[in-house]
Amino acid sequence: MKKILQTALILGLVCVVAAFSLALVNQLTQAEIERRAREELELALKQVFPQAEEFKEVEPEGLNLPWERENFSLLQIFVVQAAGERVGFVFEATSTGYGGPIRLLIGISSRENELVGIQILDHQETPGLGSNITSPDFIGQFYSKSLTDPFTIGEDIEAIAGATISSQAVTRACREVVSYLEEVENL
Amino acid sequence: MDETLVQIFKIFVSAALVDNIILARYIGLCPFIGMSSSLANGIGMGMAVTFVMVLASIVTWFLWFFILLPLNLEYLRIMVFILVIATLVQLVEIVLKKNVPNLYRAMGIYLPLITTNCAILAVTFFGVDYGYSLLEVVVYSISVALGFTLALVLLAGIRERLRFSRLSPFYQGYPIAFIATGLLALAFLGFKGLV
Amino acid sequence: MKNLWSYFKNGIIGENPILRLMIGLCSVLAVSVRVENCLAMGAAVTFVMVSSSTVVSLIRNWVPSQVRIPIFIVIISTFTTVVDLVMQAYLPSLSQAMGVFIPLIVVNCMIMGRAEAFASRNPVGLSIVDALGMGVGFTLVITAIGLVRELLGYGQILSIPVFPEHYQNMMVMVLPPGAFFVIGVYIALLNRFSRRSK
Repeated sequence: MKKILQTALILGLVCVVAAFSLALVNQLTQAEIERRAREELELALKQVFPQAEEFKEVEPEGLNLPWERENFSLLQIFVVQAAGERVGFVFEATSTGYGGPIRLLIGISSRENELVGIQILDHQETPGLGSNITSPDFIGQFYSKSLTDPFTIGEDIEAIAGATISSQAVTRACREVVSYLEEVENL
Repeated sequence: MDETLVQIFKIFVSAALVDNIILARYIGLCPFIGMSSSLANGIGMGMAVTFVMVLASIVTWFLWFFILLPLNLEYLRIMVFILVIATLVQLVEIVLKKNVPNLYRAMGIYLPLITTNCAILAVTFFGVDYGYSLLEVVVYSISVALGFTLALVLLAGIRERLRFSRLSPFYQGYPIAFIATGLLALAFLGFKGLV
Repeated sequence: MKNLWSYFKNGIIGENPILRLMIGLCSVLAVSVRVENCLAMGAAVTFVMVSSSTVVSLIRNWVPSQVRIPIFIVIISTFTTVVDLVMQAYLPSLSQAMGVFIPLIVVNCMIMGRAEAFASRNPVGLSIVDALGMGVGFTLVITAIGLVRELLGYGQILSIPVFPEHYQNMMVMVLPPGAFFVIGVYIALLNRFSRRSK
């Protein structure tokens, strides 16, 4: 009986020491991890909307977020401000590609009614084929496109050779964001 | 109801075939290469993995959503999950030995190997990372385990035949097993884009 | 001194964890797409290996043998979590590239195996040397695989282009099958050379 108690005590002691040291390391790193994540998002937002000064996350009330469509969901909206005025929006969305969901940011200027930028945040497309959706050659096609454009592969967008599904996913995301804008008027 | 069925089918296909844990994600390779020398070994190992994987996923799912998350103890995840798996393996071994000796004979010797099988730990991580519900986690872990067993049985079949083929002596054993696995993985790439 | 060297060398040549013992394979194949990832993985594994071997060796005399496995698991998982958190904080892009394989270091049979077979029976100094040898052996092999895969798959080394622009990337090397082919050929080569030297 004494033996069991002793064994349990040692095991417990090791666990307590381990848990304490982990709590300490967690304390030390948590702030840094959160700061990096914020910085990363900030940087991506800036790239999508270079002329912006400030991004404000919109409260999801009354906006039906997340807004789900087939193979697409709209997760979050940021209001873009420059010189104290509201100049556009950045939409965070996922669209299903070949290897899984593609997470991306889409920037829309409400003044010029055009798409200002796209940034792919996360994807699992095939390396060397579908992963080319991040290349400027492909993404560049979307820049400064008017919202009244069809956003359709084969019409105004050229698909990446050998990666039609991945290209379609990005194109679909833009199309859905436009149709969301039409549906929700008081954004 | 229909929608849940579709969702479950999707999880099944993607976990068992498209994202096959061995051939597409390289997880669980040690027992895969070590245990695929004969068909009987492959099936025994597959059964043991299925059993423990499903149990472990359920237990860790409850622990994660009802204890670790509410208490903000996310950083203890690795330690808690691996301890759960190690304990579970021991328990299963004891219970099987006492109550179901037949089953124990079939998969008993594979059980101790499972504690350090990364496939189990990885599935418990994915299960909570993907935000699955309890039902989905069960389906997911069964599908992954089936995919694992499928890959194991396929390779075991190939290796049993390879024993009779004339090979360069340097390639015998592990090297050719890896290359056969590579060819299998190539074939499984065909499932990509299915879901 | 010579003795220490032989312990160190054991991990690199005699009992190389990957090519000889076939353990710790998962992370090797998954991460070895780029040399950069390989080096980081090697460093992470070596760190966990050396620190857990040190602790295991330090406490080896008062760990009851019935609970030694759970205690080893706790120690290894502590250091793995430390690596995971530190990488998330200071090397976020690498930590993202390796994803679940950092936490999976905890089930790398190599670390558990060395803790049980070596560190729990030997003094601290020797255990550290042994763990270092194993870690370096692991890093060397994973980097060797990464070199081939990055060179053929992307035409680059450490993300610096090596081949002329017209080089057609061998995509299979970046995908899972390539990893299996490369390691198969490496083991065959090792078999060939060790047979010759006999």
